[in-house]
Amino acid sequence: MIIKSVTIRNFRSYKGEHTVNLDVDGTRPVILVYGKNGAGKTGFINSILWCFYGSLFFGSTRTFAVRQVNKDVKKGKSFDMAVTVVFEHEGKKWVVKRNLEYVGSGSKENTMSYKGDQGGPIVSVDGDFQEDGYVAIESVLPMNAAHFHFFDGEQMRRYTREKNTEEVRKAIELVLNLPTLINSKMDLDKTLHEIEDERSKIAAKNDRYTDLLAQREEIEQGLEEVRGKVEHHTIELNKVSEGLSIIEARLAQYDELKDKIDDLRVLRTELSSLSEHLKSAKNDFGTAIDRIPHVVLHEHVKKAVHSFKKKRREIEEGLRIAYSEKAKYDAMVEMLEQGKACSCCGAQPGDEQREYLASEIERLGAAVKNQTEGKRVSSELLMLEERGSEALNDATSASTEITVLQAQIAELNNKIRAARQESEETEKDLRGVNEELYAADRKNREDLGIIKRKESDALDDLVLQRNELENSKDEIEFELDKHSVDDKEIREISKEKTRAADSLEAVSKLIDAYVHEMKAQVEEGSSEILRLLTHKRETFDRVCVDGTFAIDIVDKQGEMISRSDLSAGEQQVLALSFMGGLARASGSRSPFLMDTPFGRLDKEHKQNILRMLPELSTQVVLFVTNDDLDQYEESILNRRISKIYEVIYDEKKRSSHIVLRT
Amino acid sequence: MSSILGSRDRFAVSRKAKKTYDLIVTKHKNLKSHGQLFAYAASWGIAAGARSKLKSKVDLAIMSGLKTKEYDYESLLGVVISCLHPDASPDERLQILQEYAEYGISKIREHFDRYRRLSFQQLVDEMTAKKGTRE
Repeated sequence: MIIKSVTIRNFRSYKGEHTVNLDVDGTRPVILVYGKNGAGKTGFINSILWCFYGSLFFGSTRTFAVRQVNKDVKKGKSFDMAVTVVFEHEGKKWVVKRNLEYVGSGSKENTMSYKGDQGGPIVSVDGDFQEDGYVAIESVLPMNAAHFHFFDGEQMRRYTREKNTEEVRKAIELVLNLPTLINSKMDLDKTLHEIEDERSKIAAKNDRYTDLLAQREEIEQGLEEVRGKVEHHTIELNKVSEGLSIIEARLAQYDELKDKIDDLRVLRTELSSLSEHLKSAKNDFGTAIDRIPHVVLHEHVKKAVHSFKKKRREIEEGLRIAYSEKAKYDAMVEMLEQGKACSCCGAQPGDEQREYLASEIERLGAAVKNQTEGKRVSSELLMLEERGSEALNDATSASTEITVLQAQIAELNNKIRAARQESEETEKDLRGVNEELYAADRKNREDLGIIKRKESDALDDLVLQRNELENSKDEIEFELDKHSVDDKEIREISKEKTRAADSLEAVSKLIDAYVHEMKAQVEEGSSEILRLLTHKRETFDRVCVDGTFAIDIVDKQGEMISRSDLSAGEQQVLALSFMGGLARASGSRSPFLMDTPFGRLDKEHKQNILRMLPELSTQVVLFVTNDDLDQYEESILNRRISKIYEVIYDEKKRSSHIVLRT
Repeated sequence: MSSILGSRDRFAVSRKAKKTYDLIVTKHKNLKSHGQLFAYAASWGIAAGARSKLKSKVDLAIMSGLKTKEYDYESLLGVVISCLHPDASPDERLQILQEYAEYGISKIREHFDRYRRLSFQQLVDEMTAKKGTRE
């Protein structure tokens, strides 16, 4: 990077527009700029810093830009401030501009509104405007590194202060173009972290999975145990229940038997009643025994009566016929015995008629003769019939009565038999009741009842526990499904992590090696420059940059010389040595703009520095007071100076300006 | 005396049978008379259709014993015998009746020996169920 020109407009003491040509050639890299105190040297450097970064000197905060506006200009209602830096970098022309315009009105700074500045520098490279000016500038000369190149001499010593080691480290990294590697490292680190996060998530998921598996196993163990207990208690409960059932059955039998006592009483009463009835029935039978023959001969009597009736009717029919025949008989007798004529025809009966009459008389005579017998028999039959009918009535009623009685007695006997049997059985059963056993059973029932309740309660608790465990297991199974991790996924992510870690390690090693190398180079370069700059060449051996990037001097004995033991000037020399060493190690050819770096230095140191300055970079702009360099000292630089300028503050114009001396 | 069973005023049994009559009538207070037992015996014989000749005939009791205000065995037995033996005269009817009774009392004796008493219910069953044979 070589600054070609700087155009300042209304910046600090520079009112109006001022352009300074800072171009150098290869053999004359130095531009000397003289100026009295307050002429505007620092302002010039600050203008470049402001243009590039919007901030000022190393260590200052980003001040509100408006404060940099020339005071006279700021008094106006409208004004602008701008700085344009033109430089060449890697063969390309860069134009960097930053401006600030005041628009609006207001008497106080904080009510003013501006445009520009906040957006960053406007950068064009070979005419191509860069989208992001900050990024563009950072790619050429990072802000942190800029302070190694654009600095106040008084500020140099800060590199040696412990509290600034972190800043120094960062600056070194930037100067040595470590950002790319560092960014790669950071990217890798970020990637690694992301992978680690991913892996952690997966691991967490896996851990969670493993936890869940462990929990499930625990639950399964617990479940098995509880199930075993449930089974055991179930068996015990069944045993108790069985025992209880047996006792209950026995007690039920006892109670049933005891109830039977009442039944027995009733039965005995019934038996007694039945016996009475039986006695009564037997008595009745007894009274009926008179009529046993009637019962036995019932059918015979019935048959006899019927027979008598029939016979009598026959006889009476015969008698009726006989009676009707009597008249005829008497008539025939009269005819035959008295020789009378027939009443019908009046004829006298002949022999034939006499024979007929005689036979008829004989027949009818038998009938008439039998009539008396018939009446007698009929009468007898009637008597038999009547007596038979009475006997039949008796027999019928007796038969009925005895049949009823027999049935009654049979029934009563059956009932009595059944009642007696039942009574005997009941009494037998009752004799089997052992009161002691009964009492023992009752006690056992009570005890078993208590045991059963306890077992039942225990079982209920265990079943509840089992159900809860089963529910927990189900929940865990559900969670397991959610958290199941594919082994392949784990392997892949692990591989990825390993690769990233390896890459990171490689890059870290590379960076470490590079830093180490660079540090060594810085040390070597710094040491070389120190030897050029210091007059204690016999004492100071080399510069040492430790791990914390603290810069120290090591003496010839290898002892570290404490910085507090160095004078301010020596510290300044040390710092400059370091900056030179850094510049060499980086290979960066960014310009150095130094503002009065010789403040505390003695002549020897100053001269040594002057000799070394041209080697520092391809462009060194040295701002010195008019008294900083004498002729000799200027002559040291003569052959290496491209231009000499002077910054002059014109009190009349109330503005600084830079004029070319040579 | 009824004309149904002839003119005798007593009815006879065998000597052997009389002992039975005496024994049983003595044994059973509810048996009112020998006549009642005779009627049982005759009923059994008639029901069985079996008769036995009287050996060593002895008079057992008077005929009026067969007819009291509680019962009239005379009409009963007389009617049945008259029907069974229509040609028999009243005296013959008595003879026949005695033979029926002779058979019957032997059966009653068997019954008695078996049960050691007269079981009247059993007696009725036996008398109405069994049919004997003429001796």
